[in-house]
Amino acid sequence: MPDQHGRPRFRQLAVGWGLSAHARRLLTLALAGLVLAVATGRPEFAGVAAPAVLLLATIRRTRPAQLGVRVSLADTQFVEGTESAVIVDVAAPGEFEADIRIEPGDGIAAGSAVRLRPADKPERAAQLAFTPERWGARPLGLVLVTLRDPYRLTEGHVAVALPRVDCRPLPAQLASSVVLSRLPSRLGEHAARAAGDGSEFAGVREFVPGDRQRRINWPATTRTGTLHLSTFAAERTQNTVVIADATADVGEPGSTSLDLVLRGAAGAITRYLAQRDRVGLIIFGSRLTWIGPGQGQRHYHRLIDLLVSSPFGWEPAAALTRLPRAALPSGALIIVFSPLLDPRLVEAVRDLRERGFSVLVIDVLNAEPRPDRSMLSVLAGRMWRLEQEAIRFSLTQIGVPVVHWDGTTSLDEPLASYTRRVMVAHR
Amino acid sequence: MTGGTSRAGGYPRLPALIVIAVLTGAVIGWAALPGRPGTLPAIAVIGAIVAGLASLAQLTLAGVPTPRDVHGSLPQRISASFVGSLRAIPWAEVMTVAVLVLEVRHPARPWHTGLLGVALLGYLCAVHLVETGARASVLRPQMALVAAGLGLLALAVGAAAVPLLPAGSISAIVRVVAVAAAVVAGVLVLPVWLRSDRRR
Repeated sequence: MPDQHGRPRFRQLAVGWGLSAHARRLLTLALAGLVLAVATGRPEFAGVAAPAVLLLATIRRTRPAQLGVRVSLADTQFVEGTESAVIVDVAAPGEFEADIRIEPGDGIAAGSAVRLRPADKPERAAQLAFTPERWGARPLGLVLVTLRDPYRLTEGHVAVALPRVDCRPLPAQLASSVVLSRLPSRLGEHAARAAGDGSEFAGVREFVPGDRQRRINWPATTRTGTLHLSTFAAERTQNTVVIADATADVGEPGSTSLDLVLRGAAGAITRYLAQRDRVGLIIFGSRLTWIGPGQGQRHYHRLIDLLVSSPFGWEPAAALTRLPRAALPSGALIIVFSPLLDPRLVEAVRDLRERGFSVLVIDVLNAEPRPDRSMLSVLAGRMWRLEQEAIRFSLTQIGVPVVHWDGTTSLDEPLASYTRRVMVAHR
Repeated sequence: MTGGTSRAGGYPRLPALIVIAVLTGAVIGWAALPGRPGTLPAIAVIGAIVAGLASLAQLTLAGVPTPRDVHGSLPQRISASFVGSLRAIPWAEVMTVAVLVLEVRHPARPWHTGLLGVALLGYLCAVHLVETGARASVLRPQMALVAAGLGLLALAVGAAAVPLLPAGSISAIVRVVAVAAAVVAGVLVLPVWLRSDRRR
């Protein structure tokens, strides 16, 4: 239960005490010296043991049996490759030095340990840095506290389990956006082709009764001698559905096709929601999971959480056509992040195009089979490449642009030819 | 007592490791040279050298995480098991015992053993500092006891040297030094023990 400042309360944990490695080494020196002194009858070996014996004689028997530890996380959200911290408060007796470090879980990189020197303050706090190396739900690991007495002969150990956290993919950079030529009649921020009450100038036309007088274009009126009016473009929102193909995970660790799919999808979601579009997400994995288009910060968190927590893998997924209409609103821009290795997804993209959706495929395939030196293997490799080229070519032939993104650059680069002007929405 | 927080491991490791390497070489060389014939000294020399090098490697690799990929390649698995076994054995202790065994067979006088004891104590303290990433100042509370121990060491060396010395002024001086060392050791140790007892 948290305290009055919202922090978790101190937990009293049992301390496991034992000899330090330094004490064990001194013990070895003392025993070896004394045994050799007795065995050989040479007092100088007893002298060699003397400093170690004296130091060991100061081992104290009064040590705290329990230690108050409070562990909290500095952040509530975690993004891969972004440093965060664990805050550890230790209520240790002042004369004990405390070394605190993180024993990281799988996929977590821990920062350096922190040493709390003996202090008069009863509570001492440390910030331990850690960095999740990859997206996904993963245990952070353990916080290990090591207490040392002033003579550094005994050590007390306490371990506190850290929670499991959902680490989000690092969104790909995307500063521009693809906008369709036809937008639904919903107020937004994109200038549409239709005239409306927006702020972007569209043209000049003759005044007709019923028009607003405040829109009279005086330069055109004085030039022509008849009343003319400025017209403006309507401002509409766009429905964008991001499809993340999670059926394959190939390539080098850290930049696999699944990594790029999730980073690209997170970048697109972030960008389109930031410009107040309605964004939906479909994950094409071991089963289809989806969230219909929506807006706002809360919707953003729902989408990103779905992105992280969805089941991935190569198992039969239902066809995209079975999705309810709310997940694929008509006239929506559909951005597919995929390595295009799953023929079912390729078929689904074709099907979407045939249903009249504007589809843009971002190919994230970064790897290819490595053939050995045999003739057959090289031939198979060539056939595989030809097949991949054929898949991409067939999609472009039906009006589905396919761009390649390698994950190292921003998404603006491959999308440049589609973000400079509106993308014509076919029917 | 002053309080505060510091990043552990910020201690300059390389100079400390060089010091330990020098101490390791000095200790082994001091006990092993001149070379003695026989199987036991040969085994002890080899053991001390291996343990010294392994201890140095153990300290150098202290911050390197053990690879956990059980499906890794053969070299990766071999390096993982090598690092694991390197960490499992207390090499500094093995070296200490091997060096003391070597010293038993050394033909030199007791002062030789006394100096070896001082060097071994310094080596063990240096190992502890590097291992925990602590600064030398953390050993300050132990200094009185170390000084007392060295006094007792001098006493023991003196006691061992007395029968070897010719009767006369040198023998008398050694006896006086031994008595003084015993007194100094007592003076240094008693306050620490009394303080320790009060805390209990």
